Amino acid sequence: MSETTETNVLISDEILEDVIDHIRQTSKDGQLVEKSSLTVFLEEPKMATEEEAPEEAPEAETSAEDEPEDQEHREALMTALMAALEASDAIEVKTLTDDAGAEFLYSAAEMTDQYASIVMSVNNKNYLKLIADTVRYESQKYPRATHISLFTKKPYNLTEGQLLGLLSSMSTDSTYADLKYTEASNGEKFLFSERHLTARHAKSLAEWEAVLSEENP
Amino acid sequence: MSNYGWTGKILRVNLSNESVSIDDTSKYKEYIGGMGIGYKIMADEVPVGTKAYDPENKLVFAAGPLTGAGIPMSSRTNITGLSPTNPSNLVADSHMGGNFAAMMKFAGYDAIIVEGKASSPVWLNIQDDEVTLESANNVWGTGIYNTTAVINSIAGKEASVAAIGQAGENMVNLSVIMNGTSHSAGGHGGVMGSKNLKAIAIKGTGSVEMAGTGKEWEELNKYMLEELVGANNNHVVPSTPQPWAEYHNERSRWTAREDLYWGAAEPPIETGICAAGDINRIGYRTDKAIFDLGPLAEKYTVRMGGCQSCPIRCHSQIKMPQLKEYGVSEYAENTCVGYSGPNGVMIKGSKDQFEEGDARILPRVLGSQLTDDYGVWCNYGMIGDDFKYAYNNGILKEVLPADEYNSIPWDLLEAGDPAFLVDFYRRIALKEGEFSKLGMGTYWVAKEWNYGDDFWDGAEDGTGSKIWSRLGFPRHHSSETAGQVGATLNCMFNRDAQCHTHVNLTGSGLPIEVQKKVIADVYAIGSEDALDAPNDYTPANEAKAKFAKWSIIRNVLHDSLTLCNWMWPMTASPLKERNYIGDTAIEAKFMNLVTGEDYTEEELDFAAERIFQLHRALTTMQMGSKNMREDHDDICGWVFDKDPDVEAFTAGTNKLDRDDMKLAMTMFYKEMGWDEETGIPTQATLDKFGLNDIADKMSSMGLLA
Repeated sequence: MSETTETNVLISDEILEDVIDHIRQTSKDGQLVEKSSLTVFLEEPKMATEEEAPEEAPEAETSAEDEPEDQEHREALMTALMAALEASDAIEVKTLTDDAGAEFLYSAAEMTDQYASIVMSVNNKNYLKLIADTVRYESQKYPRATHISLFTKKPYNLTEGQLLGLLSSMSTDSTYADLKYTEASNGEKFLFSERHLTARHAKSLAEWEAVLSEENP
Repeated sequence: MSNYGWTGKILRVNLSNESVSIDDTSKYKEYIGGMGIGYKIMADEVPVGTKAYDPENKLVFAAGPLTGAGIPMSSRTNITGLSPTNPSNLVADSHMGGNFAAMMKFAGYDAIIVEGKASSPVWLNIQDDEVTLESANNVWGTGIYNTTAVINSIAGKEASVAAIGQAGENMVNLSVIMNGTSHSAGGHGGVMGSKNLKAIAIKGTGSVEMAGTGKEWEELNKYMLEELVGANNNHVVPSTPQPWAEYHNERSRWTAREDLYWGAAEPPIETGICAAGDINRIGYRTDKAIFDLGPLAEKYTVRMGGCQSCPIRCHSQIKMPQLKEYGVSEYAENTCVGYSGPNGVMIKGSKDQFEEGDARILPRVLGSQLTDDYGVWCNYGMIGDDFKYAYNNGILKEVLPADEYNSIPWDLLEAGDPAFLVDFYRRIALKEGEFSKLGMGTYWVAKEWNYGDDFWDGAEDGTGSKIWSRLGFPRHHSSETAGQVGATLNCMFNRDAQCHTHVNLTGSGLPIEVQKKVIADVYAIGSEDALDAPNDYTPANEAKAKFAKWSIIRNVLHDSLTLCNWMWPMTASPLKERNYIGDTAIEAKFMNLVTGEDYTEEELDFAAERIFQLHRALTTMQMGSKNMREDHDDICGWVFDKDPDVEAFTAGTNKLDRDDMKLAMTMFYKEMGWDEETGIPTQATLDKFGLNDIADKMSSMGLLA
């Protein structure tokens, strides 16, 4: 049995395991878990252990969801759950906050920080910044020019129409003035950041990816 | 020599007098196995000056101590013999996967030496200790598919059959030996044909004895599969962003993902996400069908196949009913250049024939069917470039008799119809007319048809050539791969360099800063300076010379153990918690587990270097060269003259600088213990590796530096 001493609220091992499994599987599937959605795991009678649970939940307790003490109880349960997750050796839970302040969780073993960051940006619909951050990162890190089709794949999931619209907006926004197009000889389009790659270098890398790598298998 | 790993026996078959005998493997222990045994036998038994098609030439089919012992990616057959494709008929190796090597070990042999020449076509039937020569009259003149089927019906369906097609029979230089009807060894098919040997069938019912316990074997395998192995070419990141992966790279062969199917399987099978560490899904990681053939291939993919004892399934098995329109089976199986080679023959491009997008897949799968059945080799795709130069420069019109020229369906070629390939490969394999000289290989056809300097050196702007050496072999992960490293090692063999040690890292998909840390961790290199960012090269340095040497030595080691250098070494890892650093000592760990010997990583590399020193000495003697730098290691001009508007070492070009490359070669010679001017092994170096007899021979020929 896991517990927190401050609130004296107990989280059963069974519930903790269920929550861990849920976070893991959701992360494996490429999604973040909204913290508030975990309340479903904390509802009676699932929440209570056999020892502590009343034979039948009092009617007042099950119907008085808006009572302040009930709200406090739920918060205490959530606090206890998060503390139990933090203390667990079975999972390393990481947290991100979206633009609206909601917290999201993921399992570090199943999802990388890089991927979680992309998913969060998609959730926030910060597409222009996401595209720019991705292109700059790839131009600097690998280095490589970024094939524009990347943004139609998971986890970006933009439609071609959305992507073209975004790229059009980007071209008129000075914030993204360092982002440039380059094209391989087969017509495939790539983006790169002038902060990290010269136009010539970017073009040569695009040509390698789209054409020459296939000729040098 | 222990009784573990090695079987202890080498089968010697003399086709001239139809005799069979057994040699003891132990005398080759210093040469490990596979390629090492092959070179040593060539050095001891084949006189300098022998030509590839002389009966005195030998073919050595050899495996190493790790093959057949259940070690991942270990069913490689190394075939050694003089090669007909280069002007001096220098010694070379061809390699095939499949299950031939493991079956040879199970039958009780580390190697098979084929010598002499049969008086009429035969095939060799090996059933454990029973070895017989059978008449091949019933299969001579037929393709590899039929030959394999007929011989399997006699030798048993379990037998592994290594056969040649009509190309090999006709001593087409560009021909293959193939087992499993898709695992081909390019370059020695004609030599087998010159001996009137149509096929070798082996059925073995034994096993390879191992010194270690089953538990130790299981633990080491588990460690490797969980922590070290990636996808094909040991690419260690997926091709698409995936939750588990910090990095991704579109050109990675780790193509498995959600919603990707083996679409022609019944029912279709989803590859799904195959995360690092999940050893039960490694077989799904590499969907090579879509990688080699494009997205349309998904619906035609039955499954991915591969070699004995290999978790990486890199051969796509395709069912495409449209193929029947060309008079061939609807099934095809191959990988990589087995597909892209025939596609390169379609020099005017390909157009869709039956559905949108099939221009990408049809010439590749149809071409693979034709080449696999006829047994034609593409010289790492160079046959297409040889053809392209002759066609585009009007040479064919000049050298072919008019009726022959007019009989070729140029309309199909111009229309992008892959039906052209049916005609093309028939002429090559059956040696029909002047056109079939394309099957002689680059050096010979260029000489016969008087190709211009621009063929070798590229056009004035440096473009238009893929040939690496004037000895006739093309680039194969050369200057575009780690600059001077790829360039140096491309000069060191007597055919296209089949070395993947370096490209498996540069193509791993990892960012350059991670790759630098990985390579710096290799004991034999120890410096991040060994590697440059792609197309952003720096001048030659000692670390690059060490990287080139280690790449070659490991390649040779793998071909001797025998392991697949298309996967090994495990330089990088897919695991972030290992900082993506692999384990280059794991060959030694497996070696010790299997043989009970006590090798260090360094000792194995030393043994491999002995083998490569012998290769260099054999090459020097066969060429009669007093200056290998000039006679053998020369590089075609386009490598230095491409991108004429910029200097070498400018970001955005992978051109090299002549003076710098000369320095790079000198540094490499120094690492190898060769004369720094001539590139010939010194007496001291040969002595160091126990090659005193070779030193004496070279000295007597006046070739020793």
